[in-house]
Amino acid sequence: MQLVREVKLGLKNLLLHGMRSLLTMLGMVFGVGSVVAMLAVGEGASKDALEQILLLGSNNIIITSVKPADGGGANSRGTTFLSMYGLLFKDAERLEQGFDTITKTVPVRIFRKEARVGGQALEARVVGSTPEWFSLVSRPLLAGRILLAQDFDQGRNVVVLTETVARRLLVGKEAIGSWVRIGTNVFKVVGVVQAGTMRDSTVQGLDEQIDVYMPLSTLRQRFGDLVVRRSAGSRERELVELHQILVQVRDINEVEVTSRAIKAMLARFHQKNDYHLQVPLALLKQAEETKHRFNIVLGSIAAISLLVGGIGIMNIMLASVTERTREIGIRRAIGATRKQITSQFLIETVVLSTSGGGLGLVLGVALPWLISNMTGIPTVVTISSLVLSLGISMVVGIVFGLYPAMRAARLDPIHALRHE
Amino acid sequence: MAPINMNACRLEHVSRSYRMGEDLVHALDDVCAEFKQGSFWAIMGSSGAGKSSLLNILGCLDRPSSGRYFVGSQDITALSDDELSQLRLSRLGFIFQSFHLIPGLNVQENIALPMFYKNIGDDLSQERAEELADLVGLSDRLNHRPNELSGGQQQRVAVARALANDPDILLADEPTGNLDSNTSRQVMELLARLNGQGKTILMVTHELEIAAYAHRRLIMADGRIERVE
Ligand SMILES: Nc1ncnc2c1ncn2[C@@H]1O[C@H](COP(=O)(O)OP(=O)(O)OP(=O)(O)O)[C@@H](O)[C@H]1O
Ligand SMILES: [Mg+2]
Repeated sequence: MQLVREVKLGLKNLLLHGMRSLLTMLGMVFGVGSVVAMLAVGEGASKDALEQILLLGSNNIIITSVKPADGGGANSRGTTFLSMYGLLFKDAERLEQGFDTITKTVPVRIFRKEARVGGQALEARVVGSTPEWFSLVSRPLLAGRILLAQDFDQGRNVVVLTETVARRLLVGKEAIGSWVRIGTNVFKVVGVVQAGTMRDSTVQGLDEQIDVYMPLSTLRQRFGDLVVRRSAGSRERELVELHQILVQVRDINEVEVTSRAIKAMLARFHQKNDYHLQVPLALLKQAEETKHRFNIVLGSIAAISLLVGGIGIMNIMLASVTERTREIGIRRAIGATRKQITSQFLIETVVLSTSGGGLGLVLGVALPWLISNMTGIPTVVTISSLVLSLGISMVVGIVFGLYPAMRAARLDPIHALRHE
Repeated sequence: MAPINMNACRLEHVSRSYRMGEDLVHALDDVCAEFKQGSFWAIMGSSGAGKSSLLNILGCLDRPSSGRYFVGSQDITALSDDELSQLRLSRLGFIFQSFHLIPGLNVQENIALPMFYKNIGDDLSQERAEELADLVGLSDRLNHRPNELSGGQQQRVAVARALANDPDILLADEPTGNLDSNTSRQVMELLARLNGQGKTILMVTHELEIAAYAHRRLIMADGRIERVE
């Protein structure tokens, strides 16, 4: 009851000196505002990163062929190079059979080739894999069906397109059942899927918008294992058996051990470092670590700005105590106890700092909103950051209000009454 | 009603000295006095005689350097700061020469301030503040700030505030010192009326006309009681 009245009294006193109170609060306003805004940006960034990583599957390990620095032992014959490097079918077999902890092994071949329907053409990314590919990589089905085991077993000439490819090649046509020419062969479209949703392709090979999926068996039959690439007048030929192997690990706790074992195995069979392992779980941990560091930096900035804000408030409250010495004397003469004077000034300070914090919150919510709207950077204002900053601004009020309040309470009433 | 002839307060060999560097200034020197309940005293004497020092002790704002002081039958020498505050709040009321209203509060809030510290509910204290404003003839000024009032009006607000918790003793240090003779008379008539209703009034003054409102006089010189009339 008394508290409510004292808070009201504090508010009244603040409104009495509106401009001064506002200026005093400014430190808190910007301190809290910037902290909430920065938290929102940080949270948005890490949520984005986490989503991308989670899309890869935290149980998965992705092994990708990488062209080694010396070009894979290229045999120079005139202007034609042949580079041989990367993952082998044998590697996929070894992974399949040699590891208890691996539940799925999905070999992938990828190359670029023109896809054409009538007059419409497009440089597509052709992905050849096994039926299990679709169970590891999220590609929601939009129409038709995904590739089935029979397609692989029989090496059928069938493809599944991503939405983008379907739109570009099959404008105004019924996609399912259409025929698409890729290279010198034609393939029947059996399904359309949504492409990956990831924005930047930190992980090569999973997020292409312009994918055409076909059975690995069909792909090998029709296109062979040699990829010919034309570049700047010379032709470059590459012999890469598998561009990627996706591995699913049985349990999330076995991911690390398995990835180490895979590395050891690959190192044994590959002379050159022509492959690269990606472990989403490790990336996840790294992202969390990054976020943790970011939070520490942010916490330090917050602490400094709140310290500055708090000192500003303390300064004004000390001035206010001096200015109102006579008032304090009057209150003491009337019969206010030291405790009541302390609580009056303390509450006034807390009201001041919390109002500042409240205004800061408004700023801290408005700023990320503006940033998101103007730059497209995702931001997330969490409830916990709001509660935390409001709580902290209260604590700042208590910490920095205590000294001025105690000084007010310690004044000798007779002296205070005589103060001009 | 308390029995007639009981003491409102009593001083026993009270001294109060201030240390000024090397010297000891004796503001009060072995003062003994009794103030009966319902009495009206004028405390007089030349400047520096110790009148304010005496009133501060009587009002429990200050403690004697030696000797004992009783409010009613209670020895205040042993009381803590909080207990003294409680005593001031409930049993004593102050009226100052320069009014000492709180500038940020309006008339009603100034009058209600002692009730705020006594934790009396808002409704009750507002009602009582209005009654008191009416008593001092300021019921039409409830929402005014002190700086919007004349000196005499401010002093009447101060009297109303002093009465808020219905104290036994009113202490006034030159209550008319800042007022002209006309408004002085209004304030003094108000005090005389309150005395008639049973309040003990201890008032410091320089002026004989003001002292004439009191029934008893205590004349001080050099920190001692020179004469009691
Ligand atoms: N806080 C103090 N420190 C030192 N000396 C003081 C203090 N207060 C009062 N004195 C001294 O005590 C003596 C009595 O002072 P006091 O204020 O009681 O006089 P007074 O009778 O009220 O005078 P006036 O009529 O001018 O108000 C004076 O000599 C004064 O200088
Ligand atoms: Mg004096």
